[in-house]
Amino acid sequence: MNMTKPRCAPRWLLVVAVMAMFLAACGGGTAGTATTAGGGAGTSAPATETTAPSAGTTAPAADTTAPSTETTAAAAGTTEASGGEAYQVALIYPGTADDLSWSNAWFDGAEQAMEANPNITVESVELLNDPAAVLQQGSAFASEGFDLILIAHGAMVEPALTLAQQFPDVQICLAPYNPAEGEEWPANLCWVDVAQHNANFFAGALAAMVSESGHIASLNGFAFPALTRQPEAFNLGARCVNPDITFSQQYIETWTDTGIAKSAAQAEIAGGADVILSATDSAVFGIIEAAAEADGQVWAVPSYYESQSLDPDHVMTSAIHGLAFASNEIIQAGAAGEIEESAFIDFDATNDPEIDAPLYDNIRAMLSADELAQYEDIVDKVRSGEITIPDETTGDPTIGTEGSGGEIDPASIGCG
Amino acid sequence: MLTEALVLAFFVIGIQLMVPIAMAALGEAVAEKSGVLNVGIEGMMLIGAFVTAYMGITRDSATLGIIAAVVAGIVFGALLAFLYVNRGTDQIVTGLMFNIFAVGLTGTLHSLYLAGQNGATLRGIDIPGIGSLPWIGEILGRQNLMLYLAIAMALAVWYLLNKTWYGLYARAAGERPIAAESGGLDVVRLRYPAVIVGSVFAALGGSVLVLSTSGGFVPGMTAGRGFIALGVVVLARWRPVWIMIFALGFGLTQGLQFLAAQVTALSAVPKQFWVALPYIVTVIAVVFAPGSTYPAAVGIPYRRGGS
Repeated sequence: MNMTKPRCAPRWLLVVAVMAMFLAACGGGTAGTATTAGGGAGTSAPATETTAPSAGTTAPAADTTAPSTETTAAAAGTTEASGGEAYQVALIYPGTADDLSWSNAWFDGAEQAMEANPNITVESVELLNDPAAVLQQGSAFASEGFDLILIAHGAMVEPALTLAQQFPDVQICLAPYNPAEGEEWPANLCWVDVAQHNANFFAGALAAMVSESGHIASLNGFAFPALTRQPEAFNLGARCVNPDITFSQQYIETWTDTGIAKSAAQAEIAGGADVILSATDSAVFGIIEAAAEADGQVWAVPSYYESQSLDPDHVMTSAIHGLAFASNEIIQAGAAGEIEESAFIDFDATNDPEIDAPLYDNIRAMLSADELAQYEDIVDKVRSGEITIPDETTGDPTIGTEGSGGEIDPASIGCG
Repeated sequence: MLTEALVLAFFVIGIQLMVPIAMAALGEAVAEKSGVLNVGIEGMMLIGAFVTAYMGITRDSATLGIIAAVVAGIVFGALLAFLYVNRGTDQIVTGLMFNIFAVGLTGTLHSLYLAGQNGATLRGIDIPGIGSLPWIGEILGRQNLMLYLAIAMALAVWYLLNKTWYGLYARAAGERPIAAESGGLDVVRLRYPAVIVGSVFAALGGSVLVLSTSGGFVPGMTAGRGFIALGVVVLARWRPVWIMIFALGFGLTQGLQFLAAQVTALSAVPKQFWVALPYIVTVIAVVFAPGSTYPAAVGIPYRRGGS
């Protein structure tokens, strides 16, 4: 395995604090880099230097000398081993490689790409949530001769554009982003969108079959179209099975606060919901705990990652968005030179087989033969395109609009 | 529609949200009464949460998790006390730096050892004689041991500050350290235990976040509760009973956002209003609360001899 461990993003403030407190937090350049606050604050200065393309890159490059050296060595080793030319990939994401969520999935896909093609080496950077830090890291990688910089962070459109303009010989890709019609972008920049809400549609259909109260709910992080489409597709999927299902949702304004998520879930349970989708991140742990503490049977539906092991008695399914598949595909396509100029690479249930809401054995046992057949029929129809789940750029209202899941006629997309 | 179940859930949620803030605020009150403004309680909560999760995951024991939080509070409290009291560092800057340090430390250790794992939790306990009471039994039956620990801590802080020689001397050190020293008191030795007690309480507040949810640690899971506790202390004017009341008020107003989403009449109000409401109420209360006077020497580094 040639993949280097995720390296620490530069965190001046953290380093100062750590030195002051006589502890070196980022030991060994391993995955332990959870210093978001430090990173966010501390990277501003070097990022500013990076903006000046020639001289500016010196500073951040120096900042990343150690890990870069590791990567080069790894790449050289790969070249010798395989006899081919190494393809160097930098993967940047907002979470950690083991967060059982968004970032974990992208990391897994990168590992799969390396297994499939030994010429590929990937260096990943965790916990980058600051545009300036992304620009700095991306510039450093590009200066070092990396071939592909894959930014798995939808809020980093501006840094991706800047990088593409500053380093025209480097392929830059960013996910998720769905460009507007007529929008133009540099030839070496590709946008990637994964229709995450397709898995939520499946989960919604399943939830409608499992729910005994006829009331399902969703707890969501923040309201923006790429997120809003997830609970709305969950509702739409449920209505595909049961048009009379009751759906409620709350935006809890956090990705990680388990206490808030638990409280919100308790309120939803008190309101009658017995299946709750988590359209958030680590806060899902609070939802699962609320489900476990509830008097009756309540189910949670985590997103992004296979999560049944967290609590098999209360995790109904997992809305798996197929991110690992997308990550693997993009990296391999890059290595094969198959990413077209100004590409928009769109993944959905028709071309991403990992987009799924798996049917666990205990849930399978609860459903009748008719219900099982109905669920499989819905999944098949979505995969074949007979049921067309709208995306957040089409229709009125689009699926990225709050409340749209209750307004769109299920029959109009092929249900029933 | 506002149902009985929703109203009960509202109070259950409000109390749950109260407990970690109340614990941290009670500890902070002790530290501030002795003259130390410990802004680092947010970080201390994070560390308490982490060690609790670590013990809960590796030893499958909530009790060991609580003990670990106490030990972590003592160790890091002593470190902070050394910086605040012996070294005379700026208390706000040091506290903020400690918070950043705690984010980095716990995030790193989480990534190395605890990522994706859940551990022991505490469930609601049935208090004999109370569990059968209508409403109250239902609400309290959903609360775990940490609520009762918080109540005991409030009583202990009240007793410590008002009924013991230590409380009297510590308050003197917080008001007029020069006078206290002239009277033969050792200001340094009085402030040390206050900072450590405050840190232990904050670490226990962090434990609550872990033990009342999944038993797992999430980087940054305190989400500013330590800073809210700082506000609650001022609002309550360092009085333990009022700290409990204001922390409950904060928890209930925070819980309103979840209730509002369920009740048609309330859901017409923009959800951002409900999210902001606890903070709006806190700011208004601080502005209009009559004469909340800090201990005179709080936040001011003191060197022996008053130099």
